[in-house]
Amino acid sequence: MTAPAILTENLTRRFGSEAGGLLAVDRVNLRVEAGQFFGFLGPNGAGKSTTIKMLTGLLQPTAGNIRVLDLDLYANPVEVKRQIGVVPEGLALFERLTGPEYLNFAGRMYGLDRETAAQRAAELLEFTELADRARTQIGEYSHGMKKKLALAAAVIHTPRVLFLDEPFEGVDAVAAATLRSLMNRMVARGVTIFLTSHVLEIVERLCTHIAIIHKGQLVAQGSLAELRTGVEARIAHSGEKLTLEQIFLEIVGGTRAGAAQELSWLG
Amino acid sequence: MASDTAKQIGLIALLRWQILRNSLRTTRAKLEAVAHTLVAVGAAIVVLVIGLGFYAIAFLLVDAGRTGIMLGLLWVIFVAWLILPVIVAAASTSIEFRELLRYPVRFSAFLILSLAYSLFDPIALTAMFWLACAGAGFATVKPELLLWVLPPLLALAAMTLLLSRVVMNFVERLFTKRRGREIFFLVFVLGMLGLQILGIGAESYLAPAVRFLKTHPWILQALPPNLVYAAIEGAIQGEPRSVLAATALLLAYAGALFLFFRRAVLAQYRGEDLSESQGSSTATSATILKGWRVPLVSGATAALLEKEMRYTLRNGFMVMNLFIPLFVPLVLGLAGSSPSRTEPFFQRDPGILFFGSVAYLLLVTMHVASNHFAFEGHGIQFLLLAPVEFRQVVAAKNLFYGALVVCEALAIWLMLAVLGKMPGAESSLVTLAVVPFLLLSQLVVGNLLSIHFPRRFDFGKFKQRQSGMSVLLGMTQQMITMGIAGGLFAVMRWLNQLWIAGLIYLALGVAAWQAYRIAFDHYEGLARRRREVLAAELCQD
Repeated sequence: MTAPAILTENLTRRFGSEAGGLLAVDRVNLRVEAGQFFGFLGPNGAGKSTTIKMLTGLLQPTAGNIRVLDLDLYANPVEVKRQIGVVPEGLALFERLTGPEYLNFAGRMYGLDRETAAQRAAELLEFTELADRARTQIGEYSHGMKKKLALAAAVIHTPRVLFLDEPFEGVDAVAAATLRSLMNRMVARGVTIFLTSHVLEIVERLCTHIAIIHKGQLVAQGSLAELRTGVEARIAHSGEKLTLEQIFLEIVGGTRAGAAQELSWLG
Repeated sequence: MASDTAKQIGLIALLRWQILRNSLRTTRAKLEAVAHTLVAVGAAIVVLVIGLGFYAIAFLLVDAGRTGIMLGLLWVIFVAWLILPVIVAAASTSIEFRELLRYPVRFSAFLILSLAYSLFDPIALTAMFWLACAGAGFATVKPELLLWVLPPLLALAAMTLLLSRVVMNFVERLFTKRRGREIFFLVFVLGMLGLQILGIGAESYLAPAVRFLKTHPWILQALPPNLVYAAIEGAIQGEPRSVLAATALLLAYAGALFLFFRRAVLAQYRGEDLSESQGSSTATSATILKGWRVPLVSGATAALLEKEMRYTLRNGFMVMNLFIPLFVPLVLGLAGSSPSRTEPFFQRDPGILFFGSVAYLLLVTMHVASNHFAFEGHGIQFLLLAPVEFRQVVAAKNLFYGALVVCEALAIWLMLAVLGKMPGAESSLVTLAVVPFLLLSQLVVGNLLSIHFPRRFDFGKFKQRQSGMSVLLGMTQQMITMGIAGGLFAVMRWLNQLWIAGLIYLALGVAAWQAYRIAFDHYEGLARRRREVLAAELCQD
């Protein structure tokens, strides 16, 4: 049996003091098998970004362990980083470089030689339809273009695990299609993708496995079918297949009662 | 409408107070506030001492009947007011006015706030204080003339305040665009080469200018400090007409400058963004060039060096900072080179000029060494995510900065040679020998400050707010190491044994290298512990 691509044990992160601080992630145990397209969902402020930051080494956990590709992240950070690709919140772009300069830079930082980095940069720019903006500095790119470039940089070294924090946020349908196409190709080649997203329709369409975090705690984990079965067993429903949105709302608590009566001055 | 404007100004003042109060919640922020206070107190003491000096000079010399000293003092303050904002840009205030534009702020409120912030800029406050000191020195001797000299002094203050804003705006515009930087660089290089090719010495090419000014005295008389001095003389001689004429002309200058200032503020109000830009987003493709190959370093380090070079060349603020040290030998080398005067100090010993210029170079680029990640923005996340040790990133930045300092030191030497003030071999070698000691000690402290107290800087802006702790600790380090180096240089030069200073510098350089190596081993763990601060501080938009 192969080791999971991502494994966490009691992963915890507290901001501030023990007494008055915020427990952002509370003893989360995640298991993502190699080759899975894994969606990590949760309402705003649930702890998604904090978790993904810990999984990629951007944030130190308060407690718990993380293993990526059977390597302890904190004992072997450089080795783990070499095998993962990340599109973090904020995108990690150098805004005063041009697209080709950035991809070249990313490739070489991940150990590619000059020729390979330049060749892959050219191919990725073509694929993401950014080749005609080769002389434009990234700071002048649209949001969608930046997302595509960030994803291109994250895959230039052919990572085995890809972490994507809200890759579809603020992206138009055309750019989203390019991103989806790239992700599907990666998964088809055996890459594990771990993504957070608020766009549940896309997650439903792409992800094979899902975990839901709420108020820092992992409240559900499994394949979409397993989650659906679990929720359907708990509630009375029409017999029609539940969508991921319905499952999600059922698990995290749905809408606030009485919200419609508030803010009456808005008309 | 006026009450609306007042209400908006009040709301903005309240907003800034709330931001200040909220920003002091963490220990780090409190430390920063303490450091800023200490730096401000230190700077205030220096400003106060100089101001008292102006007062004493004005008082003693005017009392002795030498009122001409007022002209000299006025010129010193006037020039300082214009030059200091460029030289110490990193230490002056930075207000992001565009943030206010998301609210329905009237242009009148925006203009008044812009003026108010200009008025409370530390350098403007400094210059106004010095001007008041010089005026007070005069008024203590001749209190009956206070009411006569006050209006021209106030008019000079208003005019210079506006002039400094207009000049800074022009400089920012010039250096923000790549084309502006290129033109400036080209003019500078061609100017220097032209002088060299024509074989014109510094003494000879200022002489015609001096002669011209002597034959056309009205040019000098129309300059602001001379106008104030004319008013002072008019007041002494009981000629109110000359006081009124000089004041009126100064107010006319101020009025004209206000129009320029208003135009700049209006452009900002309408959404002008002076941050670095390509200026065009037309669709163009380019061949993908292979990255740099740098001998003796890894591919990742070569990529980091290449990125540093691109970032430096695209950054008007940095380019400006690198240009200033080249002007120092030019200005000091030419200072007082009028044929009528005796040869000035720096021209008698270009060795001192070279040493001083190199020390100044390290001082003026201190903010780079103590805030390495200032321009990374969200890119800092990439550096933290990349499969390289963070100390490799630090090493690449140090290597680039070190190469920059050495190249610029050589450029200063070349500049002196072009000006016909080539330092002697001994002075040159001794000055180059001090560079490793000064540079490495600066980096030992600077690297720690860069990781502990990072501060995000924006491209294309000259006034950026440094971390208070970085300024305090960086300045302390500079004072110690430069004090040692400068003291040794002075003593050994006096003893005529300069070569001994060179040997001691080399020994100090070896010690600094050892300190650097020891500190270097700790950067990895330190960066791991501080990565959240780095990301939080540098990624904020």
